Amino acid sequence: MDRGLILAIFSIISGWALILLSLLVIKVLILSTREGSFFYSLMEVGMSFLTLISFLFIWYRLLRYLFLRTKVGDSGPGGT
Amino acid sequence: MHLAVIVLLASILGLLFSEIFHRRIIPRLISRNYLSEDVHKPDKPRIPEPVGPAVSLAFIASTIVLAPLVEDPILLMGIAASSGISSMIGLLDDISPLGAKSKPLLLTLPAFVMMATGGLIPRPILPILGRARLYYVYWPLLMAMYTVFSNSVNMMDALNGMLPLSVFGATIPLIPVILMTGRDEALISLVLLLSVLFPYYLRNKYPARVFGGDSNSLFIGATLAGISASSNTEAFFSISLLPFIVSGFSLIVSVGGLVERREIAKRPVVVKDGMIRANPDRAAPMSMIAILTSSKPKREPEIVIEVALISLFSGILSCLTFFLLTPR
Repeated sequence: MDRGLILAIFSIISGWALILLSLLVIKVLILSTREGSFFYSLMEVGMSFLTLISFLFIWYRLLRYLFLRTKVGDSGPGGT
Repeated sequence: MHLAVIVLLASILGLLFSEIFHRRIIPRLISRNYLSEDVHKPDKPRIPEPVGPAVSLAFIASTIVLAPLVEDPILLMGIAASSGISSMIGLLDDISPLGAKSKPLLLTLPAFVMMATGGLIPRPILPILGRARLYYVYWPLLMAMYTVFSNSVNMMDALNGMLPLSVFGATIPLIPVILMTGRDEALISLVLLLSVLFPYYLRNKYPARVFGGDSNSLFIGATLAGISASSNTEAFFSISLLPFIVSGFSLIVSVGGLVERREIAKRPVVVKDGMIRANPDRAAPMSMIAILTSSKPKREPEIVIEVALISLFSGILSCLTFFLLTPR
């Protein structure tokens, strides 16, 4: 297994964790806001999207950083 | 009729129709000189393209035969119709390339067909949360899902056999999930999709004898979106298609927005003597193939197997998420 394959697997596991973490935050948001009002529902959706986008941004930056390190790194031929 | 019998019938019909259409369409493409270069081979052979209509027509023909046997024929036909529209958009793109911004916009059209069937319930099943109530935001999200799925699948159609094999890997583990939702139409559509893709895979695997083109990849993306929407398993299909979405998303962000695949100035990978490796340029975009070849160059079939295994892994991850982390 080489570093490229490990990074690809990492991208899938971290993407999956990101989805679950976003949903967990959304659950906390839902539990902490009043139910029934349209305004609150709208706020929930807005906050959920903001959460997802911010997580997505952090995840992408991390993946890009690791990708560049693997690509231009000089630590051997890549086999583990 | 019993579901198992319909599923068996679907797989036989799908295989049969797909084989017939492939045999009909491929000689016509060759005689009319619809050939594309296989850029990853040293001798750059010219391959018939687009074979996508053979796959999509087989899917539609099988659906028409099966529709009278299911509980909700309108929903089943809706999935086929929306996929057919996507295939037509893809065919248009194969013949005369559409713009990078107009294509995603056009790909929202199939969502309207699904909405018109009246068979969609805006209550997707979500991990951790269970059944959500998204009466207002579901419909714009559905349109976005069609575009995201279609484009992600399209971007994954880069190497010989990679797309069909990855679709097999990502979706077969989802069969028990769809079975649990009780939406027979979604299960039949998924089995049909896998069946019609099989004859295509045999011809598209390394070294490829046919290329599907956008008419194939956009059709597959839209079918997957339709299946997930009709069974409320959107989140699980998204997890399952993570290798596709990661690749598409990374590519779009790296190039700074929606850019047509052929218009990307710096290629994510470089090919030398049949070996593929990530472009050493730091500014080159990031895709799944670039990630896999970031540490060492690899041969085309090796990358395809790795992508298929990663897709299978994400499919299993999605299945486990449904059974272990989703309240019902």
